[in-house]
Amino acid sequence: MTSISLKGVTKIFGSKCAVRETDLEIESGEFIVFVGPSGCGKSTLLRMISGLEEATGGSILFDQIDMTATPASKRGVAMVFQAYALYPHMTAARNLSFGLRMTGHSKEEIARRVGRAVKILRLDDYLNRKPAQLSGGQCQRVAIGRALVQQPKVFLFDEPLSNLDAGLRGSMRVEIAALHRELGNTMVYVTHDQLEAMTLADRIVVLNDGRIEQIGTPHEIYHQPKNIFVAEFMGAPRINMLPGVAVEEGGLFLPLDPEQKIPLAAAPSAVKAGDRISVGIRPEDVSGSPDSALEMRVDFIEQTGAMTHYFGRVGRHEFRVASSEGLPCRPGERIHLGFAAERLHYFDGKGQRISPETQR
Amino acid sequence: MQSDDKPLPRMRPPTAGFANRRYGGGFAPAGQVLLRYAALIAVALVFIGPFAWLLSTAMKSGSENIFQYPPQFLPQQPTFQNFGRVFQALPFLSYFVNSAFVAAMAVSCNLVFCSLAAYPLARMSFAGKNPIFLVLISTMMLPFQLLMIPLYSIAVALGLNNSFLGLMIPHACTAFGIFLMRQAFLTIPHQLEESARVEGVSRLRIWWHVMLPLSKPALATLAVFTFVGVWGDFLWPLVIMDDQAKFTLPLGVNKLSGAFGKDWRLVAAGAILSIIPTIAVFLFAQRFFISGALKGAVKG
Repeated sequence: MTSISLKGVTKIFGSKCAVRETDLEIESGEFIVFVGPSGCGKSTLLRMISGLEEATGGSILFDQIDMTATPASKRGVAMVFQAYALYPHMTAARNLSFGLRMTGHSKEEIARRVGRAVKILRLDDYLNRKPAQLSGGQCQRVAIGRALVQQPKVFLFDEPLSNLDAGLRGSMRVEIAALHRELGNTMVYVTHDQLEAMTLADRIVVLNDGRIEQIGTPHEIYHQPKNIFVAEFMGAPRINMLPGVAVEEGGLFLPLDPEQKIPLAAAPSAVKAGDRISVGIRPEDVSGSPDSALEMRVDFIEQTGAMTHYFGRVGRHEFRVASSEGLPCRPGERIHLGFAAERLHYFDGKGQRISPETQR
Repeated sequence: MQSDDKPLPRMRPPTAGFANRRYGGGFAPAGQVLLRYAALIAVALVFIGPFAWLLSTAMKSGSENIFQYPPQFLPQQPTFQNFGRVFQALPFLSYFVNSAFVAAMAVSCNLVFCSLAAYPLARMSFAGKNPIFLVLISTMMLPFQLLMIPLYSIAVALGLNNSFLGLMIPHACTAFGIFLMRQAFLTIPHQLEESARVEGVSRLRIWWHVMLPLSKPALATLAVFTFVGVWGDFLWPLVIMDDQAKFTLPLGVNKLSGAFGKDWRLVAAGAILSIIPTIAVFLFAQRFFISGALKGAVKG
């Protein structure tokens, strides 16, 4: 098992800075997930860890040994690519053993390692098939098997499930989690799918525009987002974000329009009247409440099975509600909504979370 | 104003349209199809015509005037004697073996050297990569006649004149071959190579075990082009070769026209015999010209 340290790692492509002075400590045996929108630098960061991409600045350490200038083949990493990257002219068995054969391992050793990977990933039935004869899920299992036989110190996954359909993605997610439990290796996983990030990660690293926005456990990332970007990126439907200026009217309120205002009863003490703030509330923290003054005009209803999503407007703000029980309304109608005051997230004028330690 | 109860125009199911486009049948008027085939046959005749005429001349007997007017396409008394006479008049088999040896060497060298040179140009980063490629490509614009004299001087200086090696070396690695292989390598997904690199596979092994097997169509194309070029080359063998025992087929066939006072029946028969290997090589390489060689490599 190996720990990874990134110290001021930077990557510049021409005039574009893809990764900006990134510091990160990945503990030994940890499953860490890089998540962020397209072009945020998550894959570039992973490729720099793998050695496939050279860092423009900073250093990458494995177990406190500087690996920045070490080629990919000497780092003890194995990588699983989004597009499988299986050799199309070789059978699954030849794909699994290719790296070992090329690096001079004995036949017995190759057979032992391939046999173990085949057993763990249940590849027996299609060892003699070529990639074109395998389904997407089978291809990705072979690709993971190819990483497994290398017995790497670190597993790197670059959006490995993005090409699979929803059902397969779910089952492969479970398999990867089981693999981590069984092997205990350090795993770094890149995805833009927040569900994958939330379900697989010990810790999530949220990236945006080449910078780390937040590092934390899935619970921390979701329930204590450090800024508006993280709050909005994590969660589907997206968090409701209501910007405005706090007012004192026998208590602190956030006016949304002339008729509606949100009581900020549990606001942190740092929030004062006259402050420009944004208040966030997760769609699932909102429910129907006939006595509430908060009124939403419902534009669209989306059934997802377990949950029903309601999209509409509160005043001039877009608003979303997610309910497992359903709300008594139809598109075009208005409904009164309520929420617990302590479920609100507070952000200052710069979009940074206002610490909730000291409640009013 | 349009009435509400006016029936909507019936739409053809999209699959039917697709099927018709794909298989060219169904709704296309018969005249249009005939016209299309007539045009295709006309183009085919333009290409096949000279070969057919060559074959016809080779099969005409000595009593038949091959220059009669109007021209007679079909031989009056078809005969294969001219083919036999070619073997009697010349050491044809020896020329054939010489040509085959030189062509095999040139094709092998081309496939190896061109793909070796193309790999770094396609996949590695190094200073001056693009200028080097540009210079290589530029040499394609130089006609062989321009290079012939300096090449001959070099060959003589190296003692390579009158040798198969001297005959083959100018064909051993071509700018066209490097260009063709570079373009083929560029189409192979980067991840395949990166995956091998992470596994600790050396660049040379990646080239041999990953890049080359996935470039079979390009290799086959290069093999055919090189073979056709070397097999039919007349000028360079004429310049470099004096020893008749080392003559290649084009030089040998050329001797036919001189030795028999330009008996075009024999020249045609010799030409027919000499193009058979070219056709054979093309037919053999054809199976590699299949699309989808990378099927299943990557998704997306």
